[in-house]
Amino acid sequence: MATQNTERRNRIDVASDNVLEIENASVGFAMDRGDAQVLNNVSIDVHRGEVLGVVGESGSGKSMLADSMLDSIDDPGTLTGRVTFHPPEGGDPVVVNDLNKEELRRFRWERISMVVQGAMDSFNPTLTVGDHFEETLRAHDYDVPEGMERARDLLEDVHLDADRVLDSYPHQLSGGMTQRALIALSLILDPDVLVMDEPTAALDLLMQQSILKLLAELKAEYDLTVVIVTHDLSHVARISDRLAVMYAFELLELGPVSELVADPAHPYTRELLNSIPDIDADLDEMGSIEGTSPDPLNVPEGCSYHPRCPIAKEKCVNENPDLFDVPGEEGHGAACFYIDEARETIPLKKEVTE
Amino acid sequence: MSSNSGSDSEPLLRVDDLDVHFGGNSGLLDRLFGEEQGTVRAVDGVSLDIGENDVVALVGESGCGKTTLGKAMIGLERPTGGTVRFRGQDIWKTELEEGDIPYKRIRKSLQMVHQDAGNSLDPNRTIFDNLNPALKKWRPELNLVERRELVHRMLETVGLTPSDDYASRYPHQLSGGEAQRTVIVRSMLLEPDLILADEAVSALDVSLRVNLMDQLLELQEMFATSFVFISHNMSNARYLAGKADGRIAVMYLGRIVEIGPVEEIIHNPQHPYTKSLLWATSGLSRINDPIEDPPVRSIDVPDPENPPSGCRFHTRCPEAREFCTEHDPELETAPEWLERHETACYYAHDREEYWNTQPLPDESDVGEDADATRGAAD
Repeated sequence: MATQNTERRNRIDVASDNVLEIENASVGFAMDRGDAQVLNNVSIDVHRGEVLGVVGESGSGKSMLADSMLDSIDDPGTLTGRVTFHPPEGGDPVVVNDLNKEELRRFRWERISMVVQGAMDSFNPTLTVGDHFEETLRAHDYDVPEGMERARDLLEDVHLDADRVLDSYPHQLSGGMTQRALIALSLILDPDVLVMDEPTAALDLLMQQSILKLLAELKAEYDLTVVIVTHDLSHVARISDRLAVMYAFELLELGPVSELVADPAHPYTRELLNSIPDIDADLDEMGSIEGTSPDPLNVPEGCSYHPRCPIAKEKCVNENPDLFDVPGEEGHGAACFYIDEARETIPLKKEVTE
Repeated sequence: MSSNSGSDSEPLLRVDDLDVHFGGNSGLLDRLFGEEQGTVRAVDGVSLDIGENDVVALVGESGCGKTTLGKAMIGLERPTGGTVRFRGQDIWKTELEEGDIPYKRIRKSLQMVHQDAGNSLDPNRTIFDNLNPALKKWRPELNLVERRELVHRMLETVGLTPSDDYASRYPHQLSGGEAQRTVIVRSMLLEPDLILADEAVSALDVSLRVNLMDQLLELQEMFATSFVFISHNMSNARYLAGKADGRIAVMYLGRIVEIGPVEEIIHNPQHPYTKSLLWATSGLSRINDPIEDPPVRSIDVPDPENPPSGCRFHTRCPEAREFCTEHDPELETAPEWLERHETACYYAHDREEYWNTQPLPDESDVGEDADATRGAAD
């Protein structure tokens, strides 16, 4: 079990207009085998108007971080820490995890909405897509005719035939169409933040990339802040402003996307980049990371990456590193004692063209 | 048909004009009246040779028929037309006790590794007991000690060391990657001539994929087995087939639209559909470039029950002209391309008849693809 040392500096401060502030968020689950910490003391600010990519492999805690933003952790998991939302019109900040049930119901969809993987499961198969839009509008006391006009605009924005899709049942649409309809639905109440958990994972590459392109357009048109959670770094890198790298339920690295991809500071991020099968890279230069991600009940002491890390030292075994500032661009941080050594001794195999 | 098994002129596997059509009204009345509705032409007139020690990656979107083609090739899906010949012998006729190579032998020679392989292991048996029965059946010449030795050697080859430990584990004690490797070992133990691996690496974490692909390739080389990899991911396809000096075949709505040596497909693609798949494959070196518009006229795949006339890609193709709506292009090579590079496209082949017709309107009309349905034949 990693020591949950609250003294540990876990945030990178930059002067910014934050729409969301997540402070020391932790999520614990009681399991048969013991207590599992599936999000461990993560702090991160979401800047207004940015696309933040949250990247991690399976079991990294990335979905828990996304769920924390809406305080929608499934029972029996419990969220501790604080999630604060700052309305764009000014006014009092909202502490999301202090909201009561009814307040939270309204807050979701109106302020922050979420799109998950597998859109088909998010729709009720006995209702048409149009019914879903109407029901959502009614549940939040919005004007239905006016809202349905917006629904049509949104559906056209995601390249769907609004008339046909509104009348269709979910099973009558392809996977890519359903996922786009769900994105349109998530924006029906004009939220400030859209959180997407693997929004394209079940889709084909052409559809995935097309949806990312649509997202970039929607973000500009509707003044959105977008958080995309994914296992596929190369996929979100092109539309993200910043990337957050999760490993073993902690935030390991955070920074502006260009620098994070061109010269990451954490050994894990460097090895992850080297391991991605890349269409432009030399075939002989790709490799894997030895070992596997830790089990939530058995996270290594000290730095959770030390058993797999090529430059791990005794200090890494005993102490969990702070999120240190990385020399270079502002707002780049990495949880590693040996940032300089990592950058020197773990060469990147792919070059990013500037 | 002559049974020229073992002849040098026949490749390991020859797929000729293969069709696999599903559904449709095949009742007597429908046949009398010639009605054929609701048929999905999952594979429609595909020809492909797989040589000895050959590696081919089949790439395409869901519903393009790549899995169906793969299964028909190894005798797991009965074709509705055309032939699959294993060393010259029609595998579907062989099932009816015809030909020199016994059917049993062909079944052993053609193996498959499924996506999500962990589910194909018996959870109540140890790894050794999962691997042993097939070995006992197909390699009766080996005694228990020899079988055990072979299993351990193979587990070690794919990095499951110490093999004593792994052989005595149960499937739930393996990670996803370890289960995948175990299933690959199980298929290799039969010393097949061809393995069909369906999305064998896409369920794994990114950081583990290259390692698994390397082990697959090591086994491929060690046993000189031919591989057909099915993937929707161009980067994985390129890695697997590229390292083995193989080919990539791109499928679209039941057809192979382009096939060729790996680097040729990646760096000199000719079919507009191949180009769109490559557009969708972000290389990390391009992260600072904004995402361009998709190089297709529509991002949705047409209804496979009702594929477009002429070239099936014409409803999405940015280069389509009226000629493409009526004429169905065939796979052809061109003198200036590398050997074995073929594509089915009038634009790529610079055909005069194509240029003499009008380009299709560049409409963003989404009604055109509105019939796209879910869950096609893939």
